[in-house]
Amino acid sequence: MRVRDGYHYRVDFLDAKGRPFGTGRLRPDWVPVVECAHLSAIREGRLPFTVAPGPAVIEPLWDASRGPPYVSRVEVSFAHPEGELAYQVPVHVLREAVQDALAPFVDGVRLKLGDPFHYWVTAYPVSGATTGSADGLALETVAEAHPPALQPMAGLLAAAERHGGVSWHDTDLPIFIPERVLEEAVAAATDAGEREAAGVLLGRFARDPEAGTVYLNVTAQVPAREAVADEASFTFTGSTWAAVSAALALRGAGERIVGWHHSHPRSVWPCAGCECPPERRPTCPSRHPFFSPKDVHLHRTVFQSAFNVALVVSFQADPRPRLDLFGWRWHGVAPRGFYRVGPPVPGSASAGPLEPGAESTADPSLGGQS
Amino acid sequence: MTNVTAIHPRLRLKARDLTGQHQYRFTAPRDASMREVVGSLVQGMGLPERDSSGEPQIFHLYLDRQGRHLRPDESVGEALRDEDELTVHPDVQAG
Repeated sequence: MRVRDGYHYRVDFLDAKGRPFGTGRLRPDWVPVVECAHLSAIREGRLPFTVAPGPAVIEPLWDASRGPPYVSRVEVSFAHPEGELAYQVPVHVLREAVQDALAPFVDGVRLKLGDPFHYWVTAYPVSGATTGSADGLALETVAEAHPPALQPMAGLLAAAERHGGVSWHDTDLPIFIPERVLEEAVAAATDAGEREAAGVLLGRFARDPEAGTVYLNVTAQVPAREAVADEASFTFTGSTWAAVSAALALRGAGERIVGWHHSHPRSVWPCAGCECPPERRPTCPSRHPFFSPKDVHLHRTVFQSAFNVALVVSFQADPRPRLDLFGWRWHGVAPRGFYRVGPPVPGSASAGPLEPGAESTADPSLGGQS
Repeated sequence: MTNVTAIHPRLRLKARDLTGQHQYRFTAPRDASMREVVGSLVQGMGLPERDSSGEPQIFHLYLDRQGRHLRPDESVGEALRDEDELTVHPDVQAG
């Protein structure tokens, strides 16, 4: 994806009383921001449906009271056949990059883990700053229009139950996953024992003809073969992807790759198999959704579109596996809700009452920009 | 007199990411190696050049027409034809 950004960024940190304690270089990853802006524009009917954004331009918008170089919002612009579309987002979408820049200051003196802080993002013009400018190869984006099928959502909703607890946001793209697909992912994870298991999720987009709502139907999962797995990791190799592509072509069902799934065996949890006392349970790490830095990297490397999701099958203290879905939000990957569709497979490991989701612990305390 | 056909010094190619959601057209010089092509594509497609531990992220080019991964030392002129389609495949780890 080509992103033109003619600025470099810094971040100034202030403690809870507003005293400056440091400054650092900010290295924003604009790709998730552009992808989320693109999907939002499609869902709002401001852009025709294409699965990938064309070239985008980033422009910082100055804080009204402080003026340049203080940034309060960022404008993402896309070129499209009818003209140009601008989408404004708050500078908080850079919070992951802010956390990275903050790390050297969390030394117990200037800042302790969990301390509140404030920050200001600043921007300075530079020349020739373009992400996605390839030396020697002039890439031209191919914007293929794939209009989603018109399909009423009411029928799906009637057979669906919400899953995700506090991770559920009404503003998220609705995603429907059949119990059969969940059960297959759980079966693969169970069969793998103390090794991780993984696979790829296939699906199709649809649009409700009455409300105009765009949504995603997950239709199948393809197990990842030709991969290297142990109890703490799962490596997708070129051969894995080639096998997935072959399976997709063989199915010939007009599906696309929309995400992936993998398991976290019981052994990866810090208190694997323990029985936490009731007062500790709300904060026990094994009872919260977990998406490791490696998982985030894989998602960013392969599944960078805003609608791409990751299903995690976790074996924790509860004998029944826990199911969590992760997806892109403006600032990075986070737990999200989804609809479970259809009756549970009788006698399956994923059957039974829905596991309530929990707030992620992966997002540490982050002070808002003053 | 010997008849020769002039060939264009660059091939017109198409590349896509693994999911097929991001597709690009580009031209590449015949003498470029696949190592050079994949490096430029990764940069151009906005893909991470480092993994989560800071090591170089490994990518392969998959030639759809032949159903095989191209070797880094193969040249564009040797391995590819005009209008060939490539898919970028990473070696990437979940944990």
